[in-house]
Amino acid sequence: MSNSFTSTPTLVDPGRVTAAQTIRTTEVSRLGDLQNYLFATGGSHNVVSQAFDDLCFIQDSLAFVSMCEWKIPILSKAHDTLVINVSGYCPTAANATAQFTITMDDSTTYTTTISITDQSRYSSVFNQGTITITGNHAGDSATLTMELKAPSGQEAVILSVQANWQALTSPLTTGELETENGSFIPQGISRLGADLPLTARFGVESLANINTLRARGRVLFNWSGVESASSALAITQAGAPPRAIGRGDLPTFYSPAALFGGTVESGLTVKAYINVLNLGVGDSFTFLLMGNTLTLSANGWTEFELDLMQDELPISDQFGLSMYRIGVDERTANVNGIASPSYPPSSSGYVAGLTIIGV
Amino acid sequence: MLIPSSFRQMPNEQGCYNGQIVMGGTVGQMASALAQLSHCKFLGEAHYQVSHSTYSTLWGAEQYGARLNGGTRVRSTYKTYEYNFLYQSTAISERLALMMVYGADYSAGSVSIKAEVRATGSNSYTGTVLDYGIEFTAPTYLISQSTPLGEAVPVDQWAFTGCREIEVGNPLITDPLDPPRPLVIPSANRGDLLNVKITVNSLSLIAVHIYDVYQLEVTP
Repeated sequence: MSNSFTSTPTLVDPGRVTAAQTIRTTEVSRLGDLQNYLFATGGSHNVVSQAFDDLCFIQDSLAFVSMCEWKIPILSKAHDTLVINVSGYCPTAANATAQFTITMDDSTTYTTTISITDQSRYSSVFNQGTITITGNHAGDSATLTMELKAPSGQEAVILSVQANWQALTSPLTTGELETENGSFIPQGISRLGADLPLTARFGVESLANINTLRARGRVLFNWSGVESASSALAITQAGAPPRAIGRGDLPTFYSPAALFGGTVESGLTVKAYINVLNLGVGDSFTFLLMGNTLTLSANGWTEFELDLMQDELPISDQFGLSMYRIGVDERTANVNGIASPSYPPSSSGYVAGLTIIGV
Repeated sequence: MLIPSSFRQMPNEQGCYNGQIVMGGTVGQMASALAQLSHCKFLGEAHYQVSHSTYSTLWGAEQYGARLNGGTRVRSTYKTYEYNFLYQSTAISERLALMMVYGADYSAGSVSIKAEVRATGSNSYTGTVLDYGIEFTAPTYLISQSTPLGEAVPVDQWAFTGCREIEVGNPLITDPLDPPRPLVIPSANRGDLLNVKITVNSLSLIAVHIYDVYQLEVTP
């Protein structure tokens, strides 16, 4: 009884499942196949996507320096391999090294190091590493931290960081597969073939599986400031990356992305994770995000469930989907939560990371 | 079949119990919900913000920290200036729409954005070209400004390929490149890690959003 699936996925012809039609095993088999495919691959595209101009994200330290932090969704407990690709360079044969650490909700950590082999900007290859999760951990998100160090007398430059969960291969393992939002029962494809009874269990499990997959997170916006950049070059030339969301970001610092009707009615939520640094004891500030007024009163990551109250973007017509502004609001009331010379990161609390995960 | 774009209500679980007649509507709703997941919700997307230097004398002794202006400096080095954006595609990534944020300065030279897709064999930036792609030029497809103050700071603008399913002559022809359209992914490369290579001229790239194009109707 193989929990196999085909890729490219096969859809069920709706014309074959209307009233007065005999339900063929082809349709039922495809329903099971598609569920398995979706569990294995759904959400395995980019979870981290960020790029940097030349000499912006730069480090000359010989020891690892923590520089970036993102939140990433956990697809399921079976998706245990995060693939990370780094574009960067160090102008010497001795390689710079990036270190990535995933911190689970229970504080367990997993780490990988990636040697950066190019010696000039985009000269040859990007470098890849993987992190494998071996334990069983609760939580629907984790924190990904990036550290960087350079060889002696050199400087490491990062141009982009991309990460995604590795999709599972066919067939899925037997037995119930866990996610934070419910369980998934893989469908044995041979049990859905001809001359076998269609069990009530298939229908019940299919409905539960669909609800589980509907709740799986997908990254709509993910940005980290760069902390502790360091270079021997003058600050006018290098080492001045954004640490915080600034007032100049507001007009365009968002992703036009689709949200789907029925999200609220299905009990699903869009979550924002905000990383605050340098907030003094007893201090707080408000931050306006997708029409929500959020109060930030502690350093570190804070999670919010967002109310969906925005109007669609006009670009929806082009996409054929309901597209929304997924990101920071461009409102003057946001000024206290946004870095500026009046609220510099050195003396004010600031937003050093923002992740928005939808369904 | 039509691909729904919303989470429609699911049938009652009791309709699947022993002793119940399996209704076509119940099976149809399951099929529709799964199609929404595979061909709508789980379409691939990537949202790159491109961070630039935030150095400014306005910061005083601090010198940098965040972007202060709703524009980004167009440096003199932004001539045939290359970026590589990695995109983990899906098995149904047939066409990729691009939406970009940029600031362009025409006094610095001719303004353009070229976009192409490459395979990433051996992690190379120069992998096999899958679609030689498209070119945005000013003033037809890009808005550029003249800010004759050396390295200019034009305000942010948006550029978009659109999502239309237009006929592609030959994605392997390099000259002239097509006007803006979604990039085409050959079936053999769908599901691979792809490299969306973007080359800019006299233009500062602020963000790149990459999308699998949603199709309203798919043949089962």
